[in-house]
Amino acid sequence: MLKISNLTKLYGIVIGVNDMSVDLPKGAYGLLGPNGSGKTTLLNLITGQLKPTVGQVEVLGERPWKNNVLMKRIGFSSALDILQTKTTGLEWVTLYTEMLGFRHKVAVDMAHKALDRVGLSGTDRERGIDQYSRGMKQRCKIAQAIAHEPELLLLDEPFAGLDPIARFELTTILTNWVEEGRGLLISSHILHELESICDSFLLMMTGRLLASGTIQEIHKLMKNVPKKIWIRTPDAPQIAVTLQSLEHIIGIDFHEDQGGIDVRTTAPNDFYRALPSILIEQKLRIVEMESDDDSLDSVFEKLLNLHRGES
Amino acid sequence: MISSSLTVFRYELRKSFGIGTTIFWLFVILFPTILQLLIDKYFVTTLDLSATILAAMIPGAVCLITILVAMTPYLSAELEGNLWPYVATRPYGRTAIMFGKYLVAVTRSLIAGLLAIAIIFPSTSLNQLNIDFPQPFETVDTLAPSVTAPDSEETITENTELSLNTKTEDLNASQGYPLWLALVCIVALSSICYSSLFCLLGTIMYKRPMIIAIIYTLIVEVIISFLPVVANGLTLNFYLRSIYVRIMGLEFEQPVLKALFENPNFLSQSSTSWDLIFVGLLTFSFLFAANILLRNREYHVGETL
Repeated sequence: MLKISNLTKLYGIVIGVNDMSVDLPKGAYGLLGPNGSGKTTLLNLITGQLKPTVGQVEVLGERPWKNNVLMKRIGFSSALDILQTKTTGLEWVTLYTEMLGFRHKVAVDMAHKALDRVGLSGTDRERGIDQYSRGMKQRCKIAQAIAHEPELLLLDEPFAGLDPIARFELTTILTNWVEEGRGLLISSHILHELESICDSFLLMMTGRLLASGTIQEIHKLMKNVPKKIWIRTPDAPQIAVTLQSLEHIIGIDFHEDQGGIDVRTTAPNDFYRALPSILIEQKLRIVEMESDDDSLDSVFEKLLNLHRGES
Repeated sequence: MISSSLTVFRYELRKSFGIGTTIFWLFVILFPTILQLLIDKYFVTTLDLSATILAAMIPGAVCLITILVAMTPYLSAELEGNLWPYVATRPYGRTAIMFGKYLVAVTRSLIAGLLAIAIIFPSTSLNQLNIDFPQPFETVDTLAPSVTAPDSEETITENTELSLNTKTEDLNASQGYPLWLALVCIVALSSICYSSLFCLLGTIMYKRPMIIAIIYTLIVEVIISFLPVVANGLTLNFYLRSIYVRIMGLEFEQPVLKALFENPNFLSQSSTSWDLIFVGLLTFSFLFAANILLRNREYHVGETL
């Protein structure tokens, strides 16, 4: 479905995508990475909006740059909000469907079907897009991407700005899409949004592909990544000495204000289990405890450090 | 590609008739008539003067403003509206959006120019023109030397006063196409070729294209084109005014206009047919260059690095 070989995209001296190689058979893939990680650049390269600086991209066996035939086989929805248009949703979807080479009447039928599929009601689709909510615009964008039933659907941050109900509905639409055996590549910076849709994930940061694998493999990866726990305590030196003896503790730093310590551990669960008994035995006190959140951002940061050979 | 261009044309044309745009457009169309009514009130007009003023007002202002607004921001509108990703992921989408919007600009300019002509002639002193049946091109070309040969025969009909302060002279003294028909021709040519010029400008300078286009128009199409030097041969205005003067067989009597138009560098020395070929070539070159540029450029819409 998608073959990327030594792909690099430079914007002047800034690297958008950095020496990426990956070969993806047909399926549903989640492209994960924090903002600015190069996901949009990668999708723009895949959809032929940008030309690789080095390396090459093959989508459905064809190179996308200036490839008019391939454009009929893919559907793309951008992360950007549609602005400045008083056109109705139906007219907008019809326009882009017609531009794929369909006759007007056929394009109108296809647009109606696509809008039905994304749940944009009959009255809403006759309203100007400038009156739409963010969720309705997202539906409209997805409708233009699926109207021609493409072999591969590429969605850039489709969940951005959606309320929980709209998220659930979009998840259902995309799950059905995948169940029909069609290709999907969907980008997001939130893992759980994609968990129920995609089989496999690509983790990107600073233009690099840091890791790839199934959801189980990603969770395992997250589990093994060292975690930082911040403890605010009046007994910082004593706690630090005691924790140092634990096997899974790989580093302890004192805060500049002497108000606590930062503990780095490879087994946070073991640490949480051991800590209460240590505190009771040594009669030590802690005021507050906080750890890195489990969001992908911190995982990416840690993955990048591992990638660079740092601990 | 053609069907996609026509799809864009239909869509954009329908979209371009918003309330605000239409009011502005109507004002632009009515502007020459208002100005001509004022001229009628305070000045005595002659054919050469009227022809010059009308050329400046209708193809020179009405059409140019319409094209400037309709064509120049064609690409920036797609980019700023975040619509470019959808255009770029359509087969021939880039070319289709360019040609589709080009056709819209030509159509709007044609409609504006023709409406302005249709309004100005019956409602001003210009209604005194003797509207002849158009003569064939060959005949008009043979009359071209008459621009510099003022001794050629003229047909002057009786003059009529329109109001107490208005006096119209020699309005029907043309020896080629009548004024209205010459204007129609120039409006058509201006619409086609200026749209292509602004298309190229809008493609090259897609950030703040209107400012660039206005500066370019003022410097190149106004200042340089009116300098009686060889460089004005690079402007569209040079060929258009040469065609305009020739197809009417216009003779200049006003001293300033006469001095200007009799300068050998002010009008093309080629035949009307050659001027038409030059205009066609320039139009084709502008569109070709714009298309090549558009297809090969990468546009980073809302890119976050």
